[in-house]
Amino acid sequence: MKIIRIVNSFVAAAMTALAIVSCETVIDYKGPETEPKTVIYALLQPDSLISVSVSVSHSVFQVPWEPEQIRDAVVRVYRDGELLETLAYMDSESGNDDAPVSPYSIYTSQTSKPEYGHKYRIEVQIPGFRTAYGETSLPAPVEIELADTSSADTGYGFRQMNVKLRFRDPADEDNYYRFTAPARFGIYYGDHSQPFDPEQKVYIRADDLSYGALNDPIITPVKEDDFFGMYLQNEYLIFNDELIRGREYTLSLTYSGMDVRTEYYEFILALFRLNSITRDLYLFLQSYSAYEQTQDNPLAEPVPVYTNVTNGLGIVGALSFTQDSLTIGEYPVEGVQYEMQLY
Amino acid sequence: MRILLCTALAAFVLALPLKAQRSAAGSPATTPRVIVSGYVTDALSGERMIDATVYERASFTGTITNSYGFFSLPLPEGRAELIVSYLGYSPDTVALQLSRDTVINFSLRMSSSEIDAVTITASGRRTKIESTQMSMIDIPVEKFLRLPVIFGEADVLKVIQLLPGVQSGTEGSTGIYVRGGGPDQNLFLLDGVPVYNANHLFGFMSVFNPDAVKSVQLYKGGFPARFGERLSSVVDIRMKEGNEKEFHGNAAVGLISSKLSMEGPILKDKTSFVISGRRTYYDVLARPFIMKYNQGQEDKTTGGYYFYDLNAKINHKFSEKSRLYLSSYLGRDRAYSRNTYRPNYEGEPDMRMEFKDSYGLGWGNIITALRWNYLITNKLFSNTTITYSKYDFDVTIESSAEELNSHVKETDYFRYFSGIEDVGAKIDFDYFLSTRHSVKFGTGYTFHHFSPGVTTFRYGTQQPGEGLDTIVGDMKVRANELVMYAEDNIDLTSRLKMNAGVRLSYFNVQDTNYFVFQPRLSLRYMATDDLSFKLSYSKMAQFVHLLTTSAISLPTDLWLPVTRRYEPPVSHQVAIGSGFLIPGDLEVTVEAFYKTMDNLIEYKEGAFFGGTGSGWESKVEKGRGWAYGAEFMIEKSYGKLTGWIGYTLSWTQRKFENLNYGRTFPAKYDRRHDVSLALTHKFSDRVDAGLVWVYGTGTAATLGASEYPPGNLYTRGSWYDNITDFPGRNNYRLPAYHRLDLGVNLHKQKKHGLRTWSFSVYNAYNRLNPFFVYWSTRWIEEPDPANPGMMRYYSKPELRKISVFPIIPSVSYSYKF
Repeated sequence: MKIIRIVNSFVAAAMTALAIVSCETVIDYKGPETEPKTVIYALLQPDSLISVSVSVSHSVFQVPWEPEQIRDAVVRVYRDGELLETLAYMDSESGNDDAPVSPYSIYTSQTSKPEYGHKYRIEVQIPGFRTAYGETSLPAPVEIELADTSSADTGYGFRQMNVKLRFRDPADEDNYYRFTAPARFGIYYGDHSQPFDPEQKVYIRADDLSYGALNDPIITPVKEDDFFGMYLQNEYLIFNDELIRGREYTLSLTYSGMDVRTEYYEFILALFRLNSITRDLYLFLQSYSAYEQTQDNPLAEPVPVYTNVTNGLGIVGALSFTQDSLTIGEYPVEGVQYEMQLY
Repeated sequence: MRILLCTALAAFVLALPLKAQRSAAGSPATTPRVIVSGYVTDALSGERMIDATVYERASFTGTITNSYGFFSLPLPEGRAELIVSYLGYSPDTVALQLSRDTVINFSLRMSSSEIDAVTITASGRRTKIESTQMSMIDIPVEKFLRLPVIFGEADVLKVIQLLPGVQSGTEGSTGIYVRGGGPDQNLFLLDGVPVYNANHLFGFMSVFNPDAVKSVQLYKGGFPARFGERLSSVVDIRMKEGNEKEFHGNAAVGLISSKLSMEGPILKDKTSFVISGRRTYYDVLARPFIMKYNQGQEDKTTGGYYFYDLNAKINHKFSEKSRLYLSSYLGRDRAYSRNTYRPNYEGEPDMRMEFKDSYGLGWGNIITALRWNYLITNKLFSNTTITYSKYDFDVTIESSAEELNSHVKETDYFRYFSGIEDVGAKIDFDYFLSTRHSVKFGTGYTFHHFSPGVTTFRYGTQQPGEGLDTIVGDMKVRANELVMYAEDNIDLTSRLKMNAGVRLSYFNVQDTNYFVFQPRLSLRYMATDDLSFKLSYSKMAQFVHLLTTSAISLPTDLWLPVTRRYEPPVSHQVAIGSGFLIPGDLEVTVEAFYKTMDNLIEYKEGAFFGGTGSGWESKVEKGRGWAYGAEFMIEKSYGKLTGWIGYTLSWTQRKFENLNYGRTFPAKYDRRHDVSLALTHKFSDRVDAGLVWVYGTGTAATLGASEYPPGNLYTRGSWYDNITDFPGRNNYRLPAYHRLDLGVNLHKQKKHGLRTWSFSVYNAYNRLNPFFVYWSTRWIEEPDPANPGMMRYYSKPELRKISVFPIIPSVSYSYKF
């Protein structure tokens, strides 16, 4: 990113020079009024009750803006064109002191879980708004397996761990994926120069090991020699099957600085998940990531975040996943005290 | 199929002269004819005059000189009266008794007589109406020097921006957008050699020094077959050749730069030279202030920006038939910053360190052309050219740490380089078959060498075995381009004239070959002696892309060749128009056009800079565009008051499958109405003044005015960071742009030359035109209506406009000797 920094600095210097003779004025916005729209977020997963988050957009001139719960929306779920269920409103968890009311109004099913081979339509009617809806289907999961793990000592007590995950892309359709790796770490904060103290606890921390795949070419197709840094970070580790259609592929994960002291009952429990996601969800994540990374850049073309909601905004998507696990160390061990670390 | 078509077209073109001569029984073609040929030059300097009119009064036939001042005119034997004229010059009339082929050269003198202007009207202006060429504007060089411009710096492209059909980019920039085309769709030719980056000062000035320029022609459509390689326009700039008779010079000092031009004979009437140079000097002027600031500082900083350019040309006349030219351009922009830091380690006298950081950003062009004109016969003129063009851009960063006692030094060095280099050769022929039939044809080859992005990385260290010295991204791409063309200008009837041509282009890059057949057609119908209607069709192709940020023009824009995945962009343009004269010595031109463009590329959404060559194809999207509109121009070229008023009504749109959800959207520089008024008035030999007024409705920008919470289900966004809802790409229109520029030139004849003081005011009524707009917020504190006695606090959005150039007076001094 050096080039961006240096070119930006010169451009900034030129702009500064211009600023000497430039001025800034406030002008009226003379664009079309944008009517508020229904915003739907729904992510269907097998074996999970259908849940829909409902909110509304608002004009930037609506200030101060206070989020409100929408309790009177009618949220219907259709399966293959037939009404499956009308979802019930649930009180959302409260927000923090700065904004005590969450903008997300949650409507959930009490009975319905999505199934493969059906088309689902989420329809939301809010009084005073146009009826908004989005459609999706559960993508078929793709099996992933842990192919190989290896580690090497990189000095100073640290190890580099390499993990290989293998899967085969189905040949007969377009597939979209997201790689995630929820993990738990057990960390001993006692004195590592002394023997394990049973009075000390091993703290369990939730973590995300998906970053290990960032160097895989299917996750980050641009080489690191792209010093211009024109590419955006693939924050959500999404990819499609354009390069691997119908073929077996091995995803390579690399973790540097790993230091698991099993003698202190430290451990890693990692779940490597290959999420099959819908195309709409893929485009949403891709555009949202680009939007986040460029919204403060005046030289970048603004990125509209993708939506598949008709008469509204947001995303109605679906995913299914398979996973394989990796355990380093042992958990739980009798006689060792464990405690969840919440931060 | 294409080969068959080309063969048929070639046969048709070659057969036309025979047909034209056989078809008109009893016409002047059957009368014994002789060829009158020669050159038209400026009497004082010997400069060849392009598009000078040579007209024979009795036979009502005429022609114009070609790009090298040569004409050839078949006439019947017997008495002939030739009138040779050129705008701003006294016409020359010669009576001849023709019995055989005759070579005669004309030297014209500048005129200030209005009677001469009337004479010019009769012949010169009719030639423009009679020509099949439409959508072309010939810009008098003196306009560049008389019209007021920003900072008093006369500029070729700034004047071109005042013409109908040409949009300017951001405030103050020299980018041109012609009939809906982007900045990479313009071919800038300097003495026939392409210029890849025509910008100094981050786009605020062009590389073309008006003191070195002889003529400028802008083609917006109706492209003759001899032009190609860009979709939207050709700016054909010819350099001066140098005064063959006397030494002259011109020195000027302005707010931004100073210039010096010299020209003169090396061998009188045989060999002449011209050399022009200019440089900015703010870095020099600022240096003493920076040095004073640095005194006593541990941390010493310096920096600056400058550009320079140099045009040089030498030409030698071997004989009346043979002439050799060598022209060169060299120019560079450089921005730099250096910092030296020597910390004072108190209590540690043995510790003396020096840290240095330097940053440099530079770009520039080198252009050379070697041309040989040869008159093969008095009907056949040839021009052979060898060309070289190079553009490069580089960024360097160097950091060092040196222990001053032991002189042990560690250095980190980083350099990024990008460029394009062309070597080519071409030969062009002008064949003057008859007064009703002339043919141009030629061929050329260019070898392209692209260096899309090369990074050198050196990391030094004192530890043995450590360090790094590597080059990455060294992806040179070589390409070959071969071109053949032929165009035939023929009078089909006494009223209907046609220019038909074809351009065949072959492009080979890596293992990909492209062959593009580009037909061209222009028709002119004379309704009356002073009224013509014209129609043209052009297919154009280009084999290079310019990856550019959509926001502003930067030297980091990358030139890249077409590939297998991204085919050559192609345009089809149809234009109709009319030209006529109205009382008051006014020429009116009206044109309408429709243009489609395919295989356009733009960065994917979220991208903001050109990158290295590796993987660029995965960062862009392919789509198409189209533009249509109408242009009106009223021009007065003669008399004390001259100038033009132009109006353009146009639409420019784009459609990319993966941009804007596949919906059509307006191009960023889509400007519905564009008006320009450019006037110069000569009060006397000592005083002349200029006025420019421009108005354009707002260009497009992407702005959203509503927002919504990000998803809480799957992404990491906080619902404090709302997502802006953009109704569409380029959905918003910026405020209209308009400004008035005024200027006056005061001349005084001195003993050894002419001195001129030029005073000008840019943006005379201080219009705050938009450079860009952005959302900002204002903090509000006010009583809370829901809680009397309490205050509430919140941010209120504001749309802010940045304007960069308010009213700017300028002054410059020049001395012509």
